[in-house]
Amino acid sequence: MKFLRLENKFSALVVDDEQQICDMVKIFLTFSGLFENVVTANDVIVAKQKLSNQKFDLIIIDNILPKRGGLDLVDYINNYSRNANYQKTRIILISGVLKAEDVISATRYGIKHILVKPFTNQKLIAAACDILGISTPNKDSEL
Amino acid sequence: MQEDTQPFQLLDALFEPIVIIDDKFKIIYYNHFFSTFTKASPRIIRNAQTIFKIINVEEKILQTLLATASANNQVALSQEMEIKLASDASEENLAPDRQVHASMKVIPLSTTRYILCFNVLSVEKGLHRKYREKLEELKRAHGQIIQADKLATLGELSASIAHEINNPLAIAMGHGEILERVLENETIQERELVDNAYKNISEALQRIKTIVMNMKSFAHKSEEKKQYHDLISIIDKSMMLVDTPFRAAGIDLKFERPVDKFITLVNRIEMEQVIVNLLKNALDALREQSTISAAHIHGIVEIKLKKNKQDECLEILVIDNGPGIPEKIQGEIFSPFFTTKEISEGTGLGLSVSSKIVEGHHGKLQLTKSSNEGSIFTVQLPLIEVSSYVASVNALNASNDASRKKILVVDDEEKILNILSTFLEEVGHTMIGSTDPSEALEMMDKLEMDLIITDYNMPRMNGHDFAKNVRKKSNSIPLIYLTSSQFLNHFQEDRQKYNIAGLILKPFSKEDVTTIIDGVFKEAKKK
Ligand SMILES: Nc1ncnc2c1ncn2[C@@H]1O[C@H](COP(=O)(O)OP(=O)(O)OP(=O)(O)O)[C@@H](O)[C@H]1O
Ligand SMILES: [Mg+2]
Repeated sequence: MKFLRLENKFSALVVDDEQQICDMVKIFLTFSGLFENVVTANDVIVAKQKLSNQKFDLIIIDNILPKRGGLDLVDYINNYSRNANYQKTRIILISGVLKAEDVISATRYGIKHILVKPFTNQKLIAAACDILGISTPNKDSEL
Repeated sequence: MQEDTQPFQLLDALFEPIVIIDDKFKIIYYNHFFSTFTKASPRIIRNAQTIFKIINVEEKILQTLLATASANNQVALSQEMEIKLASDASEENLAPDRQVHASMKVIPLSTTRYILCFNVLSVEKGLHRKYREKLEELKRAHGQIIQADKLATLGELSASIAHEINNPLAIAMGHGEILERVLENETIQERELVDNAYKNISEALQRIKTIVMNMKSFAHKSEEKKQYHDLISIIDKSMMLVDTPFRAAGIDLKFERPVDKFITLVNRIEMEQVIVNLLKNALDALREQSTISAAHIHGIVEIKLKKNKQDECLEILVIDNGPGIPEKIQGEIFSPFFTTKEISEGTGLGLSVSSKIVEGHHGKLQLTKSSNEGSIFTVQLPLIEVSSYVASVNALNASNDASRKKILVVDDEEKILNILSTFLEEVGHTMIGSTDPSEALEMMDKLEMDLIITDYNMPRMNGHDFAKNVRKKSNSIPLIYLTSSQFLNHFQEDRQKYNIAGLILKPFSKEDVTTIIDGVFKEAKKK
């Protein structure tokens, strides 16, 4: 199962209002050799469009998104995947600052992984692997 | 001989104490205001042999004044001095000697008649002193205002700057990393130059990151001094601090102590300050009420401590049966310098400082009820697990060392939690503290951890049952027992069954802890 998945590689959606952060995360993910199809979105509306087009193995969301917060999107995704009978969506939250209320609301939405900016490639991949239930690739294979 | 005092009657119209004396200091005439001033009855004044019976000044001083006045035939003025107004104990005057601050003026009428006026300065002097005191007070308050305002602004500013910088910083650092990876496998002519340039860039960015981290911790400078404390003992201490004024005012102060401990991660001094501020406000409100309200209400202030399951937080309630807070000022009471009290009684900083402190603990301070039957102020603090998780993630974020781990420690003794957290931090790990096994189990679902250390002997759920439940959730997370030797047999029993990775025996040293933990992590890596 694991190998099968690796051949097909994972897909991911990255939502951040800063395109450069999206680009960076996308490169981190593809460099790891685990991901192939990485889509980016700068706001909640585009993110919802992308979600309706395809299914993602991993979604990375900025905590603070314009107009509506990132957690709004998380809520939407959770409902969406429940209705569409998908497996529970795996989400990583990335955030500029970490406050207790963010942790509390994030955990309410079932998010276990919160990364505070700036984070390293290594930390992102470690979180992604943990969430996908695979072991971390060693450094050599990350490129 | 009866002297004609008719011309002197004019003096009665003047609002200054004036007396006419002869060169032997005998009183010839005095005006109304003089008797008011001396508080001596006309009879006493009339019977007085000399003016010194009424006014206690040195004879020499008055003598000199009279001499100067008559010699130059002009007005002579004394220096300011304290003048005692003699009270004659033999008469009905029972009041103690009064003292006034005044100067004397002598106007010669002839060689045997002198007008003596008193320029009373006591009132002016009193006013001046009061004015100076108030001015000092104002200066002090102003200093506090500026200081508090500076700190608040600086704190808010640095928190928001930190936030603004972190995004571009993340972009710069991340893309730098990408560059490094790409260039690693390229053959470049100027290899050394490129490597050096990259090294300089990443060091500079790392420095910026450190500065931003420090700025953030300046904004919440309490962060470093947070420790695991039982809120009950913090409340006890705060109540002790205000015990005297409460007693003096005859106001009851109650606290129904819960059976369970309420251990949280807080800065003890700051939390005490918050509770004392709230208690003092309640006391002030009740004191004021007792002076104005006709119907006598016995003042009661009550503290309640409870867990709010729904909001996942701990709550401290300070309840008073005072007059409440008028709706139109409710929005302002948390602003700095808002006060309804006299300048000497309140600076209006209590609530604003307290809410800053509570925010620094990731909590909230709110007025949750106010009517004419009283007010309730509520302090909400995050559960121990959440606050220590936030502290732990922030600490991990501050370093780039990926080998640092998040370790969940379950123990109902704050001392053990504090010792372990110091040890673990010293070797570079971070700790998430929990005092309640069932809460810890919930945390496992919500947050991601690398290792669990659990006390064996706990009131609600012992280590054995806890381990059983942990294994229902996860087979892989390493679990360590923390216990005294009397429970050693349990470890041996559970070891295989629940895959217990190790044992820390109480009492333990830092080396004991680190050796066992390192061993467990090495073992886990192999698998
Ligand atoms: N329990 C209470 N009952 C009635 N009014 C209150 C209560 N607590 C606070 N207030 C009102 O809120 C105002 C602001 O309180 P705050 O503690 O910030 O300042 P203060 O008590 O006036 O001065 P300081 O605390 O600096 O000595 C008070 O002046 C008072 O009017
Ligand atoms: Mg106050």
